[in-house]
Amino acid sequence: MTAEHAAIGLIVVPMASAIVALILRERQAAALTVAAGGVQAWLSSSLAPLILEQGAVRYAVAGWGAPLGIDLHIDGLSTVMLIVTSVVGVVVTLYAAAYFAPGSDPAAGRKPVAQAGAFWPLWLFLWGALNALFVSGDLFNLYVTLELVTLAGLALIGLRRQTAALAAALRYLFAAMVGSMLYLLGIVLLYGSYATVDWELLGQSVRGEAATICAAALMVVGLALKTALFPLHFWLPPAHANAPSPVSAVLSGLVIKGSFFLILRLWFYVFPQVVTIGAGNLLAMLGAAAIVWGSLQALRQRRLKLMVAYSTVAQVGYLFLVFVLAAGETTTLAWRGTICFAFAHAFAKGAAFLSVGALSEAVGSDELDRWRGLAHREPVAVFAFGLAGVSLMGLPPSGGFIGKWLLLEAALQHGQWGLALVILLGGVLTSIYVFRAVTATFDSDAVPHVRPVPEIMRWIPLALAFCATLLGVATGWLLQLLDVGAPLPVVLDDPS
Amino acid sequence: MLTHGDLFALCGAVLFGIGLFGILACRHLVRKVIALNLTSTSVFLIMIALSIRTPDGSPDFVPHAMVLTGIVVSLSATALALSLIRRLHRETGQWELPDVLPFDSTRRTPAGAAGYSVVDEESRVQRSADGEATDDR
Repeated sequence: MTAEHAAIGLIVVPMASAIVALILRERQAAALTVAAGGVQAWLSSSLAPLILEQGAVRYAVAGWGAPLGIDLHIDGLSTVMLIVTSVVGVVVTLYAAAYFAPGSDPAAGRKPVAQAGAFWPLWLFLWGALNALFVSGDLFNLYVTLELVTLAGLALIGLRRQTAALAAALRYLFAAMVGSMLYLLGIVLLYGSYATVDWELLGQSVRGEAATICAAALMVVGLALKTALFPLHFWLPPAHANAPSPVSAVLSGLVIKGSFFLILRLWFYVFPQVVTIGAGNLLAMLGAAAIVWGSLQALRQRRLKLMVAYSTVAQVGYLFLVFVLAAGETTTLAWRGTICFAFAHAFAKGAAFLSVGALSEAVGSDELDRWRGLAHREPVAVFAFGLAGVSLMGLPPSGGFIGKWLLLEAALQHGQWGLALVILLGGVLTSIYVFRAVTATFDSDAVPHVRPVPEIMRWIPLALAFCATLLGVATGWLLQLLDVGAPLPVVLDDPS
Repeated sequence: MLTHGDLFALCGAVLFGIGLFGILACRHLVRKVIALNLTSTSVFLIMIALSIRTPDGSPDFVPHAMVLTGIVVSLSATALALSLIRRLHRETGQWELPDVLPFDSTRRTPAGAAGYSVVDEESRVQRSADGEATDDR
């Protein structure tokens, strides 16, 4: 097993399974997806030690090199994202198998979800496209995989075919397509200037001319639109809140990280000579605004799925602080902090959405008022939500705490007091809405009547939340892996 | 002196702007999709215009490959958009997105109002207009 084979396997296995799942019946498709997930988890975990010893690997698929062939480039960042995708993917698959399956006792009230059979091939395509995105070696292939991810995600949002879901999917479609077009225009400008779309080669040959600066701006804005950076976040809350719970978990946890991964690739590997302090500051300020705005909006929500979706808007803001913090000596610190934060967020947000899904199914609604006293009936799922909240708040011990700690250290070392304050403020605001939700469920005066929920739907979110917490004590391997192919310290161009 | 390649590229840039304006300003969903197609076609036009500019005069084929791939992607996106729009029309009878209210849940919208509401977990079964659960992929 070489790193190349593992990477190819991670792309081929879900894609092939998706095609087979199109012709299988629903239960067989679910079993196939679980099997494919297991294979991918094994492949990505065996990729990690290979990358650690070999360093970054570049592989021309089928021996046809660039420019007409497609190159794969696997480094530490890719491996980390592949691992988180596999783990969250397997967990969400198991949850979805229970979520979409009709209950064995119809009298108990579990109704089947129509169109559930379409979930499995679409989810496998999304998964394969995500894997391909994390290992692509040239910008145009990244565009294609990004579009695949978006289209599969859209179809999954529109799965339930109700007005709110369809409208949300359409809004997401237009926003995502505009983002893709801006990104594609940037690729065109880059190809026109340098005659290559391979991002490693571009990184070596990029100069600070007008076309390149324009391309950088277009691509970053387009991808920021896809990553829902404030104020381009308008499509995210309805899209993530109206999707079925397993889909929301994947969208918030993984798909958002896909376009963010692209911005990281562009900023640190293609455009390090072109980006300026001003641009970094702008992104960081928008990130700070996202943290505050997202948290405040989350506080106002009555429906929990919207609350968790606005929480995603806020957490995305943390990710964008890296563009001003990763400069000079704090580069490694900020880089590690951001990736660690993204890693923990995928687990925590997945756990949050899955537990909200289980609790909503128990009570029949995701309105907070209907959840009073629910902890007495569904303690496991409420505990999972609370534990996920611990990571979202950034309390020790959790992966979120490690990420925030590293970011705070970078901010203080850099002298960015405002950003440090915003990071802490975000934690406080997050704690308000998480505690509000959790304490409401402890109200013993109004214990609701609940419907039976499949056992696995209660315990899966707990497993994910536990992973997020475990990350707080077992971060060493992650940081080691991130060092492979980590960007060199960026010296931002000082306009003075 | 503008070569014909530059002229195509400039035309593409102008079309991109028109398309972007259309996506943002048009309310009718099918018009938005047309504007989206205009935008993507304009980017392909710019790409093709770039393939003209080689020192020995023969065209550069890599942009051609990229344009073909892009056309396929754009086609799939258009198909998905149109099918979602058709379904939305079937549900609401409208060709526009429902009003962009603040999509929070701080205002209680009555069930069944044509506003923007979050889907209830209760209503996970999709019923078509005549009451049977539909199941087509």
